[in-house]
Amino acid sequence: MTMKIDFSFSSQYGTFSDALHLEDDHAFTDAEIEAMKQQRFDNWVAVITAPPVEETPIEEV
Amino acid sequence: MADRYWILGTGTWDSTSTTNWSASSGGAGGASVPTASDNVFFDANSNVLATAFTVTMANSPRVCNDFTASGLDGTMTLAGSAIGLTVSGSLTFQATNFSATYGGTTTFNATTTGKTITNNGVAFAGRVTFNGVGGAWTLGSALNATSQIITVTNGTFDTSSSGNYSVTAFQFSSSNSNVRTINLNASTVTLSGSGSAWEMPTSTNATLNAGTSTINLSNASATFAGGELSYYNVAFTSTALASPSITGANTFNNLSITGRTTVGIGLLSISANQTINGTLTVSAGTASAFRIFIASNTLGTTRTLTCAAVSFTDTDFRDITIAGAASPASGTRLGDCKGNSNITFGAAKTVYFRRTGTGDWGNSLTGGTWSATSGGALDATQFPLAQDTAVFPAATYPASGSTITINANYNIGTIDMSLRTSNTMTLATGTTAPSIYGNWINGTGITISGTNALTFAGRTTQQITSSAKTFTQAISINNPSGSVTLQDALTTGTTKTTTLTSGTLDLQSYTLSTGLFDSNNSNTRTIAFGTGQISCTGTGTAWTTSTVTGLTTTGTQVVNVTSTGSTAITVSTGALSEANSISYNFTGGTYALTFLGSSGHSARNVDFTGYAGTLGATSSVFIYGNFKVSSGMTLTASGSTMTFGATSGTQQITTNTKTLDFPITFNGVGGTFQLQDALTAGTARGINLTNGTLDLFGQTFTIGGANTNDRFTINAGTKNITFNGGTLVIANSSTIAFNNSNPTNFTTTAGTGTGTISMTGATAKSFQGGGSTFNCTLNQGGAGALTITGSNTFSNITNTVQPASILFTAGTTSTFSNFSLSGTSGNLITIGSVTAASHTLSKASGTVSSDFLSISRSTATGGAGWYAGANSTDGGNNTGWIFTAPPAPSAGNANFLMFF
Repeated sequence: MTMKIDFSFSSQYGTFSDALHLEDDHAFTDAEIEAMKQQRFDNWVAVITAPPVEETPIEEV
Repeated sequence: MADRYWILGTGTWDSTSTTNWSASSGGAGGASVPTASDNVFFDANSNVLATAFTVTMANSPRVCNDFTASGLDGTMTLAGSAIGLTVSGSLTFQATNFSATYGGTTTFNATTTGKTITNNGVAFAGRVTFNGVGGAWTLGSALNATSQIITVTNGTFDTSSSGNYSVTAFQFSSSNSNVRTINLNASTVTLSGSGSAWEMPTSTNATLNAGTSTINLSNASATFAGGELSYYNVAFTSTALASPSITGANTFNNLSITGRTTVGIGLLSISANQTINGTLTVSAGTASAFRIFIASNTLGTTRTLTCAAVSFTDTDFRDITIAGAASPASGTRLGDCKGNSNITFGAAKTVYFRRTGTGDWGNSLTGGTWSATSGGALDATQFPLAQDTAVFPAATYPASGSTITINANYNIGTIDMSLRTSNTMTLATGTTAPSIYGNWINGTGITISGTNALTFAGRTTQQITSSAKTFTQAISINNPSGSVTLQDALTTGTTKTTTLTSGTLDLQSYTLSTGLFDSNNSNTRTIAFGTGQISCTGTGTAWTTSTVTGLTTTGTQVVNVTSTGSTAITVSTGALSEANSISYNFTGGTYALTFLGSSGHSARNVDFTGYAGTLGATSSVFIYGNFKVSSGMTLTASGSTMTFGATSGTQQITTNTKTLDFPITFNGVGGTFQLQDALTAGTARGINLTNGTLDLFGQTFTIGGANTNDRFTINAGTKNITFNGGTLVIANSSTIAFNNSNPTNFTTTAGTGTGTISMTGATAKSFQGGGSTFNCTLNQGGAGALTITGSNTFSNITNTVQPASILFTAGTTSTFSNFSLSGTSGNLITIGSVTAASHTLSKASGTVSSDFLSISRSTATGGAGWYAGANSTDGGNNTGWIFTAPPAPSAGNANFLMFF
């Protein structure tokens, strides 16, 4: 069985809302869970602020 | 009619040369060039001795009645690049010693019956067309135009009831409204073309006698456009079926689809109901992962196949109903891709990935890829179908670090990878575009890769659990009666589009971050935001809901456009209603932005904070919430109106010193539009107040400069100006600078502080008060004469320039709580009437204490003491004015004041 922990961060880029899906018997400490939340937010900021990558057209052989 | 014989071997058949034409076989040359009524012959005497020769046609088209190549003793080539041949009679090619290489169209245009086409196995290099009203052509041998199109435009084409000759072509076409007949007898027609191989979508006036014929479509993506006619046997024979289709509501004897011999899945798209009086056969492929998919061309729209019998193996169905004697239909390993009726599918099962290393979702390996139990035996029959759940065990199957590739556009039920945590795994889709009918569950050890779209195409609730893993694919939601619900934040690549085609995208209050978002269609669909938001991280058309028919949005609809770059972005909102409108935040970047650029488009709150690019010209658009301009951005002027239309709450307008150089209308019954800082409209832009409250909120709203009427107009509606100490500056000069021609249900509210309407035009201007009460000060703030029309009520009237004139309409009564006009020495304020009659000024009590006025035709009344001042001028026809300074306060009053 899994549990879901919802969380949100507000930022200049809008509100980031996500959830952690963990086993009911997980062994994470509160600090570790908070770190996971922060990590997800940081990753999201990195994604949305990264310059768009243009796709390289596939050359026809 | 004459006969013409070719002589002298190689030569040119053009419209003038007679060198090679003789009136008899082997006779003298010089006969006239054949006309359409002449028969042409190529025979043993056409060449010199038995040498090979080439007849090159020129001057297209070459014409003749009968064309006969027979008795040739040397190889003849009938050539002519792109030159056509029109035959008005019959045609015979010699089976040997003859080839036709000309590339133009061979047209048979006889208008009488009894013509024969005998090409004796010699292929036509160009197109073949039958086009003669009343003409009839019967094959004398198999007709071979392997890589070309055979077209029947007029007349009767007959494959011969005795010969039942075969027809081979790239395409067979007869799509028009002419009278024509096609008799297929017991012939086999083999068509190799992709696209419309059998092309009869318009079958008006066509008679198709299918006989006991067979039409074989050999291309992997052939279209059979049957035109709602009756056929005998039709077969899709490719063993690598890709994307064939059937259009038109046709009738068949047997309809068969050959199974695949290569891994993958072929989609047979059906766009109308079909009747199969014999058997509908979908043959098994090499393995259970080699599948055929029969689906309606429109997801959610059912197609009925009425069948006497069916034979199905390894077939998926979507939006298909089986009717007739074969109903309910059953088969082997049938996949239920939703929307089907009268097909018996196997019960949904859970299968487990069983290969140990990198590999494919589907293959032909012995035992296949899947097992009925976790870690159990490989079982080729356990390929996961659209109703099944495919589970990746926690370890071993596959080993950590493996890549499993969904190697075809498979129809997949639920993918459960939640157990993959410490043992990593990449699920790749490469360039395939699978469809998902169940849930997608990532584990924390999953990596997703692939370039083409994942389509969620179920009919009930489908869940996506991302576990913080970015989808590299586009996401398409086409779930017409259900929803796709996020179980946590979902992120796609910055160049990828999330498309909502139908159904509900339910964010479940989580964040969707996608490169682009597209829901530009007319299907019924909903974006349920909850408290979640959508962030568009890409460039180009970052957001489009341009077509809003059928679109509903719920929750706190917020879209963030987060680009920090300079590449242009378009956000096409569509004309959403106030209830469905969406808020847009532009959080950064210097890009050129096209937003609200189409008429009728709308937005709720718009916030440009952080954006430093140029917003292109807006069209006639609607804002249903706050509007906040950033200090670093540039707004482009526009002649189209921006309407603030919220019908409830207080909407804030922040311009950060930027001029809003477009017309503005406030039109929201029950809404309040509140300035957060000074608002300056473009000098030539009209401002309209139709419904709602314009709350100046202590700020200055500056309007106009160009001398055009109606810079500020009060329209029919329920409207209010609340000042709260703010100032409405009307800077232009015109006949009607302030136009209150619709005073009904127009009110003003002073609020906190003293509000002002300041008429600052440098030349003559008019304040059309409409007889309303203005709980503010009316200020003459420009050198131009101010004309006031209507019997209005003001809190005060002032002037900030002098000399200046203030003219009232004769016969009106203007009522003031305070009257504060005064000039200075040599700079008088002139008070008069517009015409040679008097106006009335009324103040209920107290004392008017003015000076340096020049007054004429003015009646001062109401109970107050009207002291024009000692330095004012009586221009005549005045009543009630006292041309002295007001008396000093009485002693009693002085003593009273001294007491304090």
